[in-house]
Amino acid sequence: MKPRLSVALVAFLALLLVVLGVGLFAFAQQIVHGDVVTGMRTLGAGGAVWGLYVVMDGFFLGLGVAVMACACVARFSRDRDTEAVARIAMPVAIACFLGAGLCVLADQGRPLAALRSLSLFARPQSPMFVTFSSVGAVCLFGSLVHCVLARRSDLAEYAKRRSVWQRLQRLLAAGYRGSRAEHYRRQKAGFWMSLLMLPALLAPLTALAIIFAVRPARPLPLTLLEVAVFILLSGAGGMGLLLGAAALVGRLAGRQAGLAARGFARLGKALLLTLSLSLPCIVAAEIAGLMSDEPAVSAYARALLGDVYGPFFWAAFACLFVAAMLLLRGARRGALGPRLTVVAGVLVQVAVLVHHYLLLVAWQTHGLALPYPPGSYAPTWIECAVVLGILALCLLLLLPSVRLIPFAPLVFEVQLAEGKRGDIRRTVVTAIWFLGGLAMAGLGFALSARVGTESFLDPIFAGSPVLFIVGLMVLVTTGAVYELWPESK
Amino acid sequence: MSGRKLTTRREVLTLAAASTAGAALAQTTRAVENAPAPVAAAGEPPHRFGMAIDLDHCLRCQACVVACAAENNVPPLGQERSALTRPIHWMDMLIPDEGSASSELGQGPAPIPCMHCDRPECVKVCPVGATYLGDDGVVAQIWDRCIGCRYCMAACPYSRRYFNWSEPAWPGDDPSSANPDVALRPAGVVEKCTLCQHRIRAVLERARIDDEPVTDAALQRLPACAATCPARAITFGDLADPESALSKLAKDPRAVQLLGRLGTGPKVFYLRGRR
Amino acid sequence: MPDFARFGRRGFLGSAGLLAGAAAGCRLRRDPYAAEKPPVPVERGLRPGSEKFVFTTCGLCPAGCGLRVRVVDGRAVKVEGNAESPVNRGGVCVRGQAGLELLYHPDRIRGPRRRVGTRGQNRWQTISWDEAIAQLASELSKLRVAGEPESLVLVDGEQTGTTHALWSRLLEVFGSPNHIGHGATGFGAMAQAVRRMTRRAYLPGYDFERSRCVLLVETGALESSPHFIHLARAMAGESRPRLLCASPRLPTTAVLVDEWLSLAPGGSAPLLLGLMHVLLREQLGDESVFAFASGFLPWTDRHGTPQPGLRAQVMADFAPDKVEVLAGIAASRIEHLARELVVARPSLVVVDESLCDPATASASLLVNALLGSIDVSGGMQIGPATPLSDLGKADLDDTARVGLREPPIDGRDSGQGDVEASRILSLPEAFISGKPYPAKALLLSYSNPAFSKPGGRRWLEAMAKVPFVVSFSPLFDESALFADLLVPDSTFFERWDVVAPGRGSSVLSLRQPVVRPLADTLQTGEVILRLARALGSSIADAFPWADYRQAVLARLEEVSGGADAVLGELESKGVCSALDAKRAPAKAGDDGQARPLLFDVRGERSPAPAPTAGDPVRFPFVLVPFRGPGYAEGGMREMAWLRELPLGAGNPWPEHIELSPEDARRLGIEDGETVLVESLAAQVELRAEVRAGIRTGVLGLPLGAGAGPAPDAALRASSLLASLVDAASGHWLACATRAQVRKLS
Repeated sequence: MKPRLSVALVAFLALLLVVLGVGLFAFAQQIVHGDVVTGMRTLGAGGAVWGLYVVMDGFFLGLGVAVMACACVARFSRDRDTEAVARIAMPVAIACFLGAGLCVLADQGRPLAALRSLSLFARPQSPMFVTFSSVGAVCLFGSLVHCVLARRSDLAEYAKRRSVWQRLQRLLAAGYRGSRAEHYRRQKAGFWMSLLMLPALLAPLTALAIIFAVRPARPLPLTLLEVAVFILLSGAGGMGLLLGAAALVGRLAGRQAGLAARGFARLGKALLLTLSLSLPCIVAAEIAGLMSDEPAVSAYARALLGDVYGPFFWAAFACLFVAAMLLLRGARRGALGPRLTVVAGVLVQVAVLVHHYLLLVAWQTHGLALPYPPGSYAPTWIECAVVLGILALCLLLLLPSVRLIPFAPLVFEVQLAEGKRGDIRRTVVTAIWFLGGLAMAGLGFALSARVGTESFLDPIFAGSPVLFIVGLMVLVTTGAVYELWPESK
Repeated sequence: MSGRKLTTRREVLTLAAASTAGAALAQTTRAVENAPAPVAAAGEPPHRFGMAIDLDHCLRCQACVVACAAENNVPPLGQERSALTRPIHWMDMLIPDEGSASSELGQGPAPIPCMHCDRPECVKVCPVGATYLGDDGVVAQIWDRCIGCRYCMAACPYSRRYFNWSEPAWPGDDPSSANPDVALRPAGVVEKCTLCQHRIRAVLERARIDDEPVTDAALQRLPACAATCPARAITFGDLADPESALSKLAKDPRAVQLLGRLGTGPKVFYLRGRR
Repeated sequence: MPDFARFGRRGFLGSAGLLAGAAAGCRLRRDPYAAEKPPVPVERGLRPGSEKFVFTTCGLCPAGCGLRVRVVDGRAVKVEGNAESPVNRGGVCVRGQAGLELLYHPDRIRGPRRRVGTRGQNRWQTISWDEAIAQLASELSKLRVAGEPESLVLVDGEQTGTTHALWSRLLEVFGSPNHIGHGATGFGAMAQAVRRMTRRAYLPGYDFERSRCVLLVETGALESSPHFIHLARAMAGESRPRLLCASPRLPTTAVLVDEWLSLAPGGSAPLLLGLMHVLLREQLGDESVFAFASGFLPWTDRHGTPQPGLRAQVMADFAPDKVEVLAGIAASRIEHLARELVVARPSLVVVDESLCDPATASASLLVNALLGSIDVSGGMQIGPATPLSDLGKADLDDTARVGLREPPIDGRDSGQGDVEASRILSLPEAFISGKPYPAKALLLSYSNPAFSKPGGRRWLEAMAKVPFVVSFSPLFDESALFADLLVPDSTFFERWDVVAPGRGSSVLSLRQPVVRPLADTLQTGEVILRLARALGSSIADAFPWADYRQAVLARLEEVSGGADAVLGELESKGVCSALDAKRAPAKAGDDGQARPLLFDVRGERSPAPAPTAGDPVRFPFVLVPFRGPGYAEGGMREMAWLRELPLGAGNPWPEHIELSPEDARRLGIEDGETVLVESLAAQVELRAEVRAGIRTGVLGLPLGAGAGPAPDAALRASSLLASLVDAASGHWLACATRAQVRKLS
């Protein structure tokens, strides 16, 4: 179903374009004048070196991973509701990953040099290697591939009509005929891809959690708690976003396109579970921090409750607590409807954003190992404008999905699936593709890790990170190879 | 091969593409040549350079701060930019906050350069290997490779790294007084103390040219900070040489390391506690 | 199925292309190590181009440290120390390291300039040196022709040196008694105290290295006084003296001070005299030093009035419990301090000669004498004499003799002809009132009184009354902006000279250009010689030397070995220090006879309590000015590295005021807040720096900072200081201005 091109929608689009324009202007200021126009400053000299950009990077990546993970989990069941979850989740996840990538690129001191240096010299010993390589190769590219493959049926349907997108739709549909064999392959590929994607998505999230949480002088148990909280909260935030997106899709594209009440209830329960795991971990982490011998750690924990960060901390905690209580009440009564769960979801997302901000910024201003005076950080309009611009860009890029990856499916029938026997060639090619991808990724990884040369010299082959990324991309397209390999006559 | 001439467009394109690919490949492998050369000559044991700062001699006059800036082309910020951000001081003064627990250096201010740790946190986390622990013990940098992600700044427990938040500008746009031995860094790059590595290499080069061993006396006041200190509070040297002045100072009962309990193995020793 | 046949041909082309491209790519790569000129071995390794190290002497303070400047391809790139110089032994302080900022400063005056338009408009016309000298000569000749040579006033900021000597000579043969120095706001108190009491004309040095206990009164030696480098050398040794500091404020850099005695402002002289009281009372000191000193025991003055003598006055007025009230230090502590200084001999009392008042300066000399710490190892060194001889007597013509008989314009007694007794702070009133006679020409050499002297704004009004003002400053400053002619001096990196730092040592230190003058400047000594030649007749006769170098060499003639030997040593090592033996210093007991140390203490009458400017009710605080670690002569404001030192205020550029935490709490002022400071002289907005180490009731005021020179620039902090002087000597009383501080609401 086409969403109606109402006045409100047009106005919204215009607003997004304006925000994007302002964001581009702000980013240009940052490029011309340097990062001094942001609110970040050198550590120990009154500031924080990581600010809004990295917070948003963590936020978006966490949301994206969680949403995509929900989509993958939904793939395992054949239920119509969970199918809707997957359908709605994937474009949202792609937008999130795009946002994360752009945020972190905006944060680099030299973004263009970053692309060059990372491609040639990146090293896996650094947690950032996993994040930057996986976000591009696995998260963004993999989600796109996954998404396109899942919606080939709709694309083929759309491609029958004349439109400006027709060529692209036909290309992406890749000759879909709707046969039973294709359905069978879709289910198999979808299942295995989702199974492989899950750990592949967790890797960058864990790496980013490590970047956020590992600090000099912070004891290991506390670090593990913080990492766990980060991952759990990201999951909760993702579920919250998914709930909101589902509600919105239902509003705009009709109830059929959206999630059924049962779907909201299921997601709501999953959210409640995640919250009940994260709340105690947050409390435990704070208590462990307060009781720590290490002055830097206890200073940070005290700062979280103090004048500067106290309001944020308590606000985030309150949001999580209220959301959990709402969901608990709803679950008890059996009335986990869309409204309740969406409200809880919004509360959770706000809390997640604030949590990431506290986790990243508070230790930089108040938790340094040496007795530097406390600093302060507040984002300038430039940072806010750039982040909002990135958000606007992601929302704008969701629009073509209306035609390319429509939220509302045109084909609802799930036909019987039947596999074709004796399709040996397909299996062999897929296996070779997979192993080839694995080999490339492995080789790229090893070479980037300075195997074969001293650790402080360059890799034997500069550009091995690209090999690694290409290997990952090959891996995530295994499913596509399996599905799209022409059938033998 | 037959002697057929190249006529088909496809074949020309293939040739062009392959040539470009080959050229690009050659360019990337150039990077291997830019790798830092080992500092110790063949047959010599590797050096382990470090520093000792005697806080009972240091008058906190900050001559080391400015000498370092002058030697390493760190221009001042000027009035306008000072209002936005703090200046870059590779050799800085640690001014303990009155509310916090004190460090191993006590209550008062103290000079603090990069610690040149043996197990540096910053090197572990750099995504592109723009900072590395050389085999002479100096934690050095390849500024051109730095992408400005600032992870090393976050990872350093001593917070001794500085980011160029804006393009460094020389007063009157005149870099005449810039030291030709030290590269100028653009905006967006992280920098820190290099133990005046260009001076170390100069001494080692001269020793090689003159075919003489490097004496500890040549090293003791080698970096700009050590050379200028009017109270001779800073001593540089080779920890791998047990007879060097630095090695003896490192074993002095007055010697402490900052945040030694973190296990980073800092090679800057502070001496304090006389009386 | 792929077509292997076609693949074969394409494959060949592909791989051939790949190899060819790779080869081309390798060729196209620029060799990053190829240099245009072949590298040669130099001191710093192997490099293309030229590298040399040039000996010179720093000029950013009077200490005269020996430098070795690294010059690469004709550009000075780094300041190092000269290990041969006994002053600094290779170390360079923070100001010296920032020195190249002065040399390469973008706002240097690029050559002689003549004013266009009205004063203060900052519009100038470029002229040549010949024109500048000609204009200078013609204006000054007009004064001689009119028979008013005394209306030429020279304000000269240097303490010693050949340029200073040439100025003295020029003014003498010109016929003006008005060679005014900066002594009244600085070193003059100590110089005159030494001269009065010991009849020697040297500024003392302090042998910190061999001393066992040093009492610093005020904090100059810890920050930027010329004694800093000597104190630092002492810290380098194995054993260092115990450091005590008595001052109203303790600098953040004073970590090595073993004990801080919080001193009330104006309490330095009472404290020292209190120590003297204890030493005399307990007979711990060496009273024999006063054996030949007139005025120690009761005496009768020339009017026939009996005077009690210094001893009786100190015993009567400076008992520790009386001193406790004046100085704010417990009586028992004072007693203990006196005993400490005696037990730990050789011990030293060191005052900040740039800011101390006359009573403090003479009291420090008295206490050091009593401790037996003068002219001994580890003590205060008065002498030896500088190896540079005088320029010889000059013949004066009648115009000059008539002019010299006029009273000096600053009101000092005619008998005190010396520059160090001049009273710079009387000049503004003298110019404005035109008494005793109007000033017609003002030369400002090494001086920017509109900025650095108290009563700043008044100086601009005063200068407006003088029809012809010339500035020799190398940089635009407040005074230069109001001048008519700019005759820029070269910076010390571009001058040739032989410097005798003095202060306990007779070393000579070479100063030579490390680069050719970057702008069209000429060192002032040269300008004086050319001016003298242009003025002609007897003036030109008094300056027979072809250039400045010849004048300096003439002063080296009497050094044993002769000028050539000295010059040879100077050029090879940068310093010539084997001169102690060549000229016998005036030491007690040197010629076998007991020569008295102290001759005359009649002038050291027990000082009355120091007056303060301002009503104590309206202005409850006292301003304590100080020269911080970045203070440098002639342009600290221009040297950005010094403004951005980590140990300074939070944001380095705005001027600040130091405040104690107790006072801040009481007034509700937070660290970093802008406050309004008000005194009799001015009202200025400053940033408050609240920190420990400041006595309550005291506001620390750093000097030398502030915005760059501009006619309409915001008020400087130094304009808060009142121009209050000691009646007898005309010396400025630095800690005598009261102030009030208020939050800006």
